[in-house]
Amino acid sequence: MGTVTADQIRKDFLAIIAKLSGKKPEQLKDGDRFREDLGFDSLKSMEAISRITEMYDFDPDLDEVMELQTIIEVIKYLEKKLI
Amino acid sequence: MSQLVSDPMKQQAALLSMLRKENIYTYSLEVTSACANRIVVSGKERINFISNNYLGFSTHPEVLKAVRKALDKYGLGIGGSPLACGTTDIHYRLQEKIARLYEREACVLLPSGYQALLGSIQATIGKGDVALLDSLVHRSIVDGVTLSGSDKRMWLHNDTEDLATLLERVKTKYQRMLVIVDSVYSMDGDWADLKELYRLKEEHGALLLIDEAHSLGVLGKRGYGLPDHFNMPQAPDVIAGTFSKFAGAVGGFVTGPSDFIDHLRHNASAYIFSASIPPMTVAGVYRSFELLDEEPQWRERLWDNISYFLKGLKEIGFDTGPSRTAVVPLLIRDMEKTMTFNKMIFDEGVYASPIVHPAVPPAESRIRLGVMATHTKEDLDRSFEVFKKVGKKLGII
Repeated sequence: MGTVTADQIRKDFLAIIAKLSGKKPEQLKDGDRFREDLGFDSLKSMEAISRITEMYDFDPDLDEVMELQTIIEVIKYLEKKLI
Repeated sequence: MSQLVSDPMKQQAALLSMLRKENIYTYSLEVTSACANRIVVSGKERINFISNNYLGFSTHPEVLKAVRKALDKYGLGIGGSPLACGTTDIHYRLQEKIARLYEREACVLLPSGYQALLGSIQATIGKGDVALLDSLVHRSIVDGVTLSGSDKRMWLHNDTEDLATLLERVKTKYQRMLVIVDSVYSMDGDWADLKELYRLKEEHGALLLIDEAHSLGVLGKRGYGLPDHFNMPQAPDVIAGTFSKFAGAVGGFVTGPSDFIDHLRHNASAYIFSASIPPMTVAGVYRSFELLDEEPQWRERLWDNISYFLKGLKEIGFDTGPSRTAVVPLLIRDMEKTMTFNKMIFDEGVYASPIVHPAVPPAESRIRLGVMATHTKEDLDRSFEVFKKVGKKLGII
């Protein structure tokens, strides 16, 4: 870890969410809720987390991750863990 | 409200209460007729688009004759698990028939399609393995993977490039990888690309399980489902399915190599801890399989109706998504309008199913329509009139 920047984390995570939601990264908003706004079910939400954690090679705390409901909450969580 | 309903549950209860108050709740209404092209619901005959009884076999006279004969011989049920007294001679005959149809060594019957998926997945993977699910697979598959204790990963619907990337990424982490797809997807009515799935599973050393629920009796030259459609009978490793669609009955099956089926019989809780399918149902399903070969006209009529229906809906201006089969979505993309649309067509004599969040994302709210071989041209034309009238009134078209 250490060399990754907040900008890079945001860019990578938005790219994953865009792919899984069928939207463009610029259409996504920080406050978008996975379930209500993006229509993600629990399977898709977990897949988003799996893809980003694989990219940065770390194991998330699933109890903590389950609490995260918006794009910005996940980005902040990743920043805390990775930077 | 009772103490059994927790605070999170109360939110949903409030929504249901609102739908009932607004008089747009149409789930689980009382049906007082057989499941034919017309169905009597809440005391009135309506055109039936809510069922999965695609071929209309549940009311076929030959099927009913076979059911009556078995009822006289075996009674209401067989009174035990398939491992106990629940496997009669006709259960064995049906298992052999399905195994032959799918060109497999063995087959086992389970009480429902849901249980067939639970059992087939639980028998295939466990801790240390991973299931790779198309994002639109049926809930029974998600529950089956949870029950199995394996990890689960998801790839984008029918996007085999995404699957290939995922396979590459996870292949060193797990002992076994099981790719699971619906042959025909229950909400969108499109089908899986078996050719590409087979190529990928061979390339990456994965296993492939397909759920034939909405495919058996519909796809393929002989109606033998997705493997028949692609002329690739050996492509899947395991095949699960149900009799609730193709025969309009109930019950499920899993077919594959004989050692695997034997393992399932002795390890899948969905098989062991449930009473067997009643023999009369098995007899009716067996006769339905015979009719698939003897009376291909039902499948031909179904496909004529699918083409006519899809074309008609598109001409009116409806979005039917990627559907190519008997499952036809009318995409309305707004939850409230979907519920209202459904109630309005119901009042005009058309019975269908509103599909809203959380079953689908809110922007994919739709009416789900099941086409039947027994629908008449008059049924389909009348439904066009109703959909057009209501669609215009609500500003959908």
